[in-house]
Amino acid sequence: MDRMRPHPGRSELFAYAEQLAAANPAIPAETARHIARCPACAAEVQRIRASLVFLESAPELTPSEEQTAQILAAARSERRTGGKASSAGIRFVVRTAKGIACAAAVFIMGAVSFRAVLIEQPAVHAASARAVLARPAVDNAPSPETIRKVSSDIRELATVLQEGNRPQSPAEWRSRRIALAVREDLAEASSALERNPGCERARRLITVNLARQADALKTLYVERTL
Amino acid sequence: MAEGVGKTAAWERSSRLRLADRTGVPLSELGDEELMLRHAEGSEAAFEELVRRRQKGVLNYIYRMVQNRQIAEELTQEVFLALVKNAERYRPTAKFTTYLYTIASNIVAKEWARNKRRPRIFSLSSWYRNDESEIDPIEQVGDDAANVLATFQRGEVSEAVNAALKRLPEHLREAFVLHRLQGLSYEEVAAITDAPIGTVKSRVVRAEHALRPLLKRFREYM
Repeated sequence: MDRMRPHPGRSELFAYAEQLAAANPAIPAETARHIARCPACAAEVQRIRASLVFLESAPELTPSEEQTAQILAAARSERRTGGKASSAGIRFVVRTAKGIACAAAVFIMGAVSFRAVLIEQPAVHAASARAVLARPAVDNAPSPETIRKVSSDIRELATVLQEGNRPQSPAEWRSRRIALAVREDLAEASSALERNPGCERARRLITVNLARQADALKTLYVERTL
Repeated sequence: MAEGVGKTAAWERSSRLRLADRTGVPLSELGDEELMLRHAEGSEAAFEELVRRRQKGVLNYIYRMVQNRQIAEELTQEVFLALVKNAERYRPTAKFTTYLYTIASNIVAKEWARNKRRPRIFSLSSWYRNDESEIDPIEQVGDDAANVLATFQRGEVSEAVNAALKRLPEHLREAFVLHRLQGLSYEEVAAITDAPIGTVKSRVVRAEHALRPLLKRFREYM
C-alpha cells in the first residue's frame, strides 16, 4: 500500500490551484496523487480556487476616450516643451507652500495667544476655569449640525478644486491629489460617525481636524485661482 | 449633419487601424518593443498605439494599488508621460510590459511615500494599514470585514475587492495584483519589484490567504 506523502505546503497547494486553470497545466504527479486521496488538501485547493476566481471576476475599469485623449495631448505637450513647464509648476508649489505656512502660522499664533491668556490670569479665573473643566467634555464639542456643515463646506471646496480646466502642471496635480485624499478621509470619518454616533474618539478627531482642513483647503483654492 | 459626424468618427477609427510604419506593416501588428522604438524615433502614431494597448492594464493595476479612480487616472497619465520623457533611453533588454509596469510601480511607490509624508493636518487617520504595526486610532469604526461587506451589499463588487486589497500590506498587494490580476509571470513580477522569484511566490500565496476570510463573506452573498 502506498504510504501517503506528507501534506503539501501552502505554496505547493497554491501552485497546484493555479495550474488547474492554466492553459498548459504542469501539475506534479505526486502532488496530484496526494490531493486526490486527501480531503483536507483537496478542500484547501478548492478554497484557493474560489478566492482566485472571485477576485478575478471583479469588473475592470475601462479608460474613457477623454482620458486617452488627455494622455495623448499631455504627451504632445511634453514633447513640445521638453519639461520647460516644470518651472511654472515649481513656482506654483512655492506660492502654495507660502500660503499654507501663513495659515499654519496664524493658527499657531492664535493657539499660543489663547494659552497665554489662560496662564496669565489663573488667579482671577481659577474658579470659572474649574467650573469649565468640571463640565463634561461633550459640552465643548460642536454640535452634529456644525460638524455636518463644515464637512459639507470642505467637500464643496474639494469639489471646486476639481472643476473647470484640468491642471496642467505636476504641482497642480499634486494639490488636487491632496484635496482628493482629504475628501476621502472625511467621507470615511463621516461614515464611522454614522455607524457609531457615540464614538467620542471619532468626534474628537473630526472636531480637531475639521477646522484646520477647511483653512488649508481654502488656502489651496486661493492659490489655485491666483 | 449628425450622419456626417458619425461617418467622420468611423473613418478616423478605421484609418487608425490602417496606420502603418514606414515599412508598410500596420502598427497594430507590431510588438510593444518595436512600437516603443518607433516612438523613440518620433512616431506619435506608435505611441498612440501603445497607449491604446496598455492604458487599461496600467489603469487597473494602479487603481488596485491606490483604491481611488481619479488618482489612478492621474498616475496612469504620469506613467505614459514617463515613456515620452525616457523614450530616447529605452533599450529592449526585457519585455516591454516589465519596463512599463516597473515605471508604474515606481510611480505608485512615490504616491504611497507622499501619502505617508502628508502633513497630519490633511489626514484624520491612517484608515488602512500599510504596516501591521500601525494602530487604527478610530477604535470603534467597525472591523474592515464589515466595511467590505457593506460595499458588496451596495452591489459594488469592484470596490469590495478594493476594500479587501486595501487590507494587505503594500508588498503583498503589489505582488498579488501584478501576478493574478494583471497576468504577469512570476519572473516579470520579480523583475518589476526587484525581489527574488521565491519571495514573489510567497507574497502571492500570503496575499490570497489574507484575503480569503473577507472574500468568503462575499461569496456567501452571491
